[in-house]
Amino acid sequence: MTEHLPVLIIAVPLLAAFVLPIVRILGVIPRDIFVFSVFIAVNVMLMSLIPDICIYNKTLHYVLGAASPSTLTPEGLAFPIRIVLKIDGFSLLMAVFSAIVGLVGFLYSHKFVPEDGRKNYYVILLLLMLVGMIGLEFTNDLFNFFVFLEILSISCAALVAFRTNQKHPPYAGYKYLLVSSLATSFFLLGVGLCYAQYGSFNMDYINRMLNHSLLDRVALVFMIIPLAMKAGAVPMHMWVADTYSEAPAPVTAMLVTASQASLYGVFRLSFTLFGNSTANISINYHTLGWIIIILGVLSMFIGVTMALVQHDVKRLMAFHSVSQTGYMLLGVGVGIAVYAGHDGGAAFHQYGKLAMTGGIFHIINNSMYKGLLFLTAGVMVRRFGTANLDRMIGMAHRDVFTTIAFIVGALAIAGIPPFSGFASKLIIFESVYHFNPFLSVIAMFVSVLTLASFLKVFYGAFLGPERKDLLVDNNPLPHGMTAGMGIMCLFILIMGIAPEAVIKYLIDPAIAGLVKIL
Amino acid sequence: MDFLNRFIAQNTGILWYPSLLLGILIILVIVLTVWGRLFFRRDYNKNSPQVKPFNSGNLEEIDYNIASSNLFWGFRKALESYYAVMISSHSGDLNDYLKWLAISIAICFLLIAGGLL
Repeated sequence: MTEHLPVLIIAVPLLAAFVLPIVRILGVIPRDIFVFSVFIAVNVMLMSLIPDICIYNKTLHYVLGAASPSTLTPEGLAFPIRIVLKIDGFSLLMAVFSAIVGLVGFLYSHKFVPEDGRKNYYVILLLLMLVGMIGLEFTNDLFNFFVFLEILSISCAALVAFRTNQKHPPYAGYKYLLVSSLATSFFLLGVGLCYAQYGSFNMDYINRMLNHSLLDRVALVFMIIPLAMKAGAVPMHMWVADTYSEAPAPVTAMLVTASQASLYGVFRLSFTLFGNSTANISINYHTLGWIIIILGVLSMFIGVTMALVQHDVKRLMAFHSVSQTGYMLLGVGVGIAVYAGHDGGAAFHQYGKLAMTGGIFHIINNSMYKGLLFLTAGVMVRRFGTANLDRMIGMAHRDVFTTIAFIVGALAIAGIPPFSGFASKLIIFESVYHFNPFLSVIAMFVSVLTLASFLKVFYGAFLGPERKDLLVDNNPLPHGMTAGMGIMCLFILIMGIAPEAVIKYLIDPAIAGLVKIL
Repeated sequence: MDFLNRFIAQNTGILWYPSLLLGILIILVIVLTVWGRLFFRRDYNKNSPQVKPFNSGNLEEIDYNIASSNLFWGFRKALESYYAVMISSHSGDLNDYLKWLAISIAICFLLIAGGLL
């Protein structure tokens, strides 16, 4: 049974999504219990893989359709012919946090999304979104990666446009769909170029056969830039604010992890597909690293400065997502820039690996605190019926738990101890300083601006006198919403207090899964 | 000691003891609470005007709340020309957005595939 876990983790939510209309016939409560059980099952299955992969440093392979799932070339061929799922430290880390945010999103949605006859579709799309994220994080097959990217894009677009009774969400959903389809079309072009040369979609096989021709480099650009766009990197980030601000709050929290799944794609392709530290390669890693660093610095600065002047709380937070993506790109970009250098990996060992540690640590931190902040924004919009900060005031009188959750999220994103954002930002600042001090100074300055813009939200929405006349919903928060925010707060605090344990058991195995010159 | 080491960020190269800092914070909060209970004023009354904000003698405090959009006005004014460009580029028009995808791909072609760097 345990050897089939890789495929079960994807198949269970996928089948649940298709079975859901039948379960709904039994009633709303059986449906909710069923979906909750699916989310819990996926989380438990993923957690059960942690000891093998993160502690004993194993890599799991699962060959679909083969007599023995662990045999990579079942017919004695020299190359793999079936779809292969590969779970290493990095893919497991991303999948675990995607599943946790998925569970939180479902809990929060329980009463947040009204039972208006369409909630079935909403829950089905949530499950498909989870399938898309975990699928593309687990697959070792380029075409399969494209398929899961499409599943993710379509379910995200439908969820963004879910509130069709309002004016803007359908436009935002359409925008997301168009941006995603163009990005995935370019990605498919890149996949086609690889397949035309090597006759296989298997990433490990292509990596072994790679001759770093001009076509390979064209494929690299076609695959990485659209994924960077889907991750919300500047200058291709404009869609982020338009779509994040119109989606329901729990969906926005999951959109953050969906964007990070694309970021996973950037890193996975840079290292696992195109990375080869020992061969005499013609792809200049220093150039690729600097491109990612420049994208990161631009994302950090433009994201935060645009956030500072927003009056719509969800748009403000969306621009912060762009800014935080910049930190991740900066950390991993420095790692890539010094990877396979002429110094035999000395710089990589001195600070490159640490920069990657910070970048990848920041990915999981961001999925937690950014998700939490979007959930608190959901409460703000629910209370005041608007996302306009000028029309909010005095929430701290009414919603004490939400206020505390917002403070935790805001301090974490601003990099204030003892919350998780501090740990990852400190590692990024320290390691990037060794590479280029100027980059580190920019990153710190951006952190200050981040705190400033969240002070603005705190001042606008939470402080001031209580104004009951401005409230459109004065009911107590449903337990699901409180539980969702509470889980996020807990993770932020634990990862801030024990960063070394997180690095040792989750981040280091993730880097080991990506990089070959450890 | 191995257990304690898990709570110390050794990777950063500087001393960062989150658990120790948290312990100090908890002790400080306890000390402040006890101190406050023992020595702070006891004539606090939530239902009296003493809890209302004081805005230079004006009694209608609600009207004098500064709107969020007015915060950091100076920052925005100082960077007016930067924001003029930035806000116009976030037009909401998909054509503009996709133009940047094409430009980014073109630049990366020149840098990576074209061998400019």
